Amino acid sequence: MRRFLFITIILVIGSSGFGQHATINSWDTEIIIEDTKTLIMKESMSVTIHKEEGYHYALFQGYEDEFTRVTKISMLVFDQSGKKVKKLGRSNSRNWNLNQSYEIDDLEMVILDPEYQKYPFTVEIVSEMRMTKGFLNLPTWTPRPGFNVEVTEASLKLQKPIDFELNRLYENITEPDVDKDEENETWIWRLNELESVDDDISYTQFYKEQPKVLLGPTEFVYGTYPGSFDSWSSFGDWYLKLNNDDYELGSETKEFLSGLESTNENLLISEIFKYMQNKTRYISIQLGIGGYQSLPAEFVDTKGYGDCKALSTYMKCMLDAKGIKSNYILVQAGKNARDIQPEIISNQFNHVFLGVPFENDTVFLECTSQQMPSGFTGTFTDDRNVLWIDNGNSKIIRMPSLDAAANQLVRNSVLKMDKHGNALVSLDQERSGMFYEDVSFLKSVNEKQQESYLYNQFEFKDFTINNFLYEDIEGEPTYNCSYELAVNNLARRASDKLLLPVGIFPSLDRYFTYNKYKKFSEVRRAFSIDEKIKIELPQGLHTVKIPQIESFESPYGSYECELRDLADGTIEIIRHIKINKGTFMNEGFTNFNAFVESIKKAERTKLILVSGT
Amino acid sequence: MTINKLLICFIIQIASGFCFAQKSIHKFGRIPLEEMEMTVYEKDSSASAVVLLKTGEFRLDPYKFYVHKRIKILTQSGTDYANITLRVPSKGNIKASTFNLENGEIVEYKLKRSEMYEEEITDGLIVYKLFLPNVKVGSVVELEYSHNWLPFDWNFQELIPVKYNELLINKSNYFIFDVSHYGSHRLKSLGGYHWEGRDIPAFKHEPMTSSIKNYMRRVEFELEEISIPGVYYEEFTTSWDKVGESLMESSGFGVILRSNTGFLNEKAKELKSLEAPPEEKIRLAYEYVRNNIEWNGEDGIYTSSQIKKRFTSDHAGSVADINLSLIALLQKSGLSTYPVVLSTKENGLLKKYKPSLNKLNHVIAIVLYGDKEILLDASSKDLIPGVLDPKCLNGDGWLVEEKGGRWVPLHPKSDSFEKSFAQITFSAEEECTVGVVRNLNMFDYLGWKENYDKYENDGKYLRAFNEELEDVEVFEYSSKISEDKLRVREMYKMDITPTVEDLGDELILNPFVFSYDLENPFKSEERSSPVDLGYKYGVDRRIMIKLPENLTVHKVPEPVNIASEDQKVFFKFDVLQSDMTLNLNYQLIVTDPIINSRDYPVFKVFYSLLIDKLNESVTFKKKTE
Repeated sequence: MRRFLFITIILVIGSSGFGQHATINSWDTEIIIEDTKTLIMKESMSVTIHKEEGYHYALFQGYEDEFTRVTKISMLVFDQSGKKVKKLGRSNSRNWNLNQSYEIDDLEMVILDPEYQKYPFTVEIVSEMRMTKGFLNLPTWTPRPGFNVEVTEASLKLQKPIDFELNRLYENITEPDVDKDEENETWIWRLNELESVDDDISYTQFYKEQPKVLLGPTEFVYGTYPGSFDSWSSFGDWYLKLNNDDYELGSETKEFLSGLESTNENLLISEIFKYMQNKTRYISIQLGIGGYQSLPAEFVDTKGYGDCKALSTYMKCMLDAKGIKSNYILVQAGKNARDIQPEIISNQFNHVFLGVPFENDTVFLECTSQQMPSGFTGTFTDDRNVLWIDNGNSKIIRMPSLDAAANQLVRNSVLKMDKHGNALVSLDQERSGMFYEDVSFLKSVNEKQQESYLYNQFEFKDFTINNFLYEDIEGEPTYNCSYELAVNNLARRASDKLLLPVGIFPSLDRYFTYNKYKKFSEVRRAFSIDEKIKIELPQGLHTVKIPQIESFESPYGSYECELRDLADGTIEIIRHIKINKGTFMNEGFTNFNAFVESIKKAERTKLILVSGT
Repeated sequence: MTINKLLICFIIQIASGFCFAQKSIHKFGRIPLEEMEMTVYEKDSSASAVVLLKTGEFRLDPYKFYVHKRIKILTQSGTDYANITLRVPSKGNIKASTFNLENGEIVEYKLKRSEMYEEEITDGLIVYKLFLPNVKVGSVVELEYSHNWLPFDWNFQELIPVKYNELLINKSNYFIFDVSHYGSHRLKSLGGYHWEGRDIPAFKHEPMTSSIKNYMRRVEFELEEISIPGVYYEEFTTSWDKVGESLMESSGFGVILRSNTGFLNEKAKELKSLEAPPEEKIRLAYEYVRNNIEWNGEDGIYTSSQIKKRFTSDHAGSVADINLSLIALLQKSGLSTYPVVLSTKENGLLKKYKPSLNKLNHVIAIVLYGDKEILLDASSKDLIPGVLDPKCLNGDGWLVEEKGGRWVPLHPKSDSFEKSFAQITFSAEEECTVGVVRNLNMFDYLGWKENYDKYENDGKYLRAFNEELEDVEVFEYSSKISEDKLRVREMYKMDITPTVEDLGDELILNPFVFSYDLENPFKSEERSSPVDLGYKYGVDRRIMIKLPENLTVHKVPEPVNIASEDQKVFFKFDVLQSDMTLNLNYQLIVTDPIINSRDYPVFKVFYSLLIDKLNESVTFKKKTE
């Protein structure tokens, strides 16, 4: 699943490191809006770079496309003593097109690199960017752009015609000073002395605490299409206007559609979706207005490829032909994407997919995936605010979250131990929801690649995969995997004993963000793991005592683990883990961490096997 | 513009005027029905697509290269192989179509010229992106294109299997070039520069391989000699001597070294007049260069006339800018100094019998004094004279003299050797603490330093260290780098109480506190490319357990010696017990970092045995009062 082109000002994000890497002595941004078509952004920045880690703050980074031009860049470089050592301009800059092999677009990064590395040094950058064919977005102003940089002085000055309306949202900053004359209105924000923040907190926390100004035009023109951010509904209407041509499908597709006789709409949807998946592949071609306007359905029908807009349009068109109404949905897509801010009506989206509304339910269709079953959109668009496009009635809705019942990992395994502590392990896994997604790509790679992926999935010190098998269940977001592994030294040896930890398979950390160092954890999606392990002991080994493991439950989730001696030379471990979703930092992290630690402690419990009678 | 490119232009000019077409053996669009109908590639049933046919032909009239390629799409994800990116040195004709079987008939869908996207044109590089239309499972995609001169290389092997692949280079009287082979699949020679390969399996990338370029089945071309009777004659890479000579005559190497380095004269004069041993002069010259110019990330052996600006005003430059400055400075200071050119690990190994300019991508300095030789690379901030970046430890490098030259080994004579010590103590409360001292040198040190620099101080490093650990906790961490900047001593304490198993009358301790992260890096059953461990190394770890009064030693792992037959790897474990202490000591020595794929099974077993030993515990009996 891939996203469409999202035109925005690229945020400079601080790299890891310690201490202060750079000082922004002054950073003045001036945005002049002349009318709905023309916007000029002038920036003037003086930044002192203290060490290599801060070098990226000395780069000028802009972009150009059909709507945007960088009209001026100049850069002066001063050495430690304040002596001017370099003057650079537009002719020294480079344009980069950062496309993947399946992408064509006209977006180019414009980079001007001082190419100077004697620290400390200072650069002064003056730049100007113009949009003259309309604009949908304004850059978000974040005066402290990342970790490890202090800001002595920063300002944002915005000038606009008095009757030009802006949508706005401020965070951690007060209202601007306003100046007015007969024609124009000027808003000014100033900030002084923003201290450098060390990166021992998470970026999520850092970003949340930053002063920032989000702005967007209320009325806009893009190319030749006027539109409005007066309400979500008016923006939705604009999107529909851009993507509402009547499309003619080819004869082969028409034939296929007329051959579908079922009256069960769900069945029809899944048949059409499968038809589309088999016929198309994802390729992104977005030039000019193509960033927002879909290629016609005919194009996809004859060429067999398209981007998210084109593939969604194609699917929609086929559904229309069968009298099934579907809606576009705009979203900020990505497994770990930050949610949009519904408080400000602006274009915060980078992807489109489809929804088919039923009375009590909606079927969601991710048209860029050739793998996912119909109706499963997965972690790419789950649990977030999206814009449901409906003529005259577009609105923000919440996508359902994948809960612990959807994200389920069921493991059944049999361990044949030998006296040395080695084991032959046969393991069956049923993976659904996000666990399904994690391995769904395996369907599209060859056996050798599957094998190398697998070797990274287990944390045994020394093992060999004898056999494995993957099977997806047709039409369900579920994968069945079975493996046979030969694991050396699974149990630790001590004199006449073997020590086997209860947590044989990795259980937790890999399924969520967990950083003790930054005191930060984020469980984006609740999940559950249900496990049954049968351990077959070799002749001559037995257990003295079966350890008892305490179960516990908390707001963060629950843990249960039971060990039983089945008295026929086998021991059974049954375990249920459930982790609820949540974001934890600082004190919140301390409590969550205590929960995680107690699970880890329980998993460390050893089963002790003794030889002799 | 490199020499080769100039020459290509030249040759194309003199050669234009001749032109008559030749027919490819396999005609575009004539796809056998069985290929249209095939649903699986029998030799590799998991393949998502297969190259049915690939031919390349270099024709002398008009010095063009013609490629024909036919790909069968076998699975839905295989449709990605119908997105084709071509990187070619010049514009040329492209023809591409999709063929589908529809109602028993083969239907062709042509890719229109207007739908061939041309992108990012730089000097002598044109990129075409081709998205074939109407591709489904079962489609056959076909492509034909041509461009001027030869491509840099030709892959017989690809990431998907190749059923048939043929390369023909027609011989010219005007020039002679050389072909280097890489990889191991057998090709059939059809005489002259003409090969065919059949049933070549998909290339698989294996961990710890120095460069896929070394092991993928492919050939590289290099111009050796141009000879147009009465018009032009030049030799390039017929021998390594010639490679060196053409470098010394090149405007981006020898010429710069001789005539664009006047900015170093003053410093050189100062060094020359200094009364100090050569080691000291080398150190001072090295530091001077280090202090004036930082590496900007660019590798390569050629510099430019900008070298002075890079050194004196940008203070940033490429490997060649930095090290050619260093060479010039040392030469001007009266020290016998030469460039050494080499190929980094990622770039593939130099072959002594295959002289090549194109394969060189890094340059360093060598100083000869007394009976000593020292290699220098001032492009990385943590290096010192005599130590190279591990990426440069790739066989031998070529020492360039005005006339001639010789090979110099890049691997250092001294190895990396870790000497570590741990003391395990039980407190009265049965808490178990370890005091650790680790001494790392050479490449172990460089590896540690690179990691440490991400954190910059001991406190931060400690937090990151603990983040990596399970069950145990490290505290009181400190590190000290030696004055020669070649060694580090780390000291820290560890709480390992959670790993101690108390069975009431018995206590089980895992004494291998250095080995919590130990795993067998080689898990696959077999291996086709050699394993590259990076560098020679040794480990000597001593663990001393102070015996508390209430415990007696019950069982200790048995001593053991394990070595591979050729003695390339070697492991030894010893135990020594006294009244007060129990001492465990092990050594692991790797004397050759390159393990052949043939020796791989032995090596895998060696690692298994080693892990097996370190998986044993010490048990204690509690004394009864």
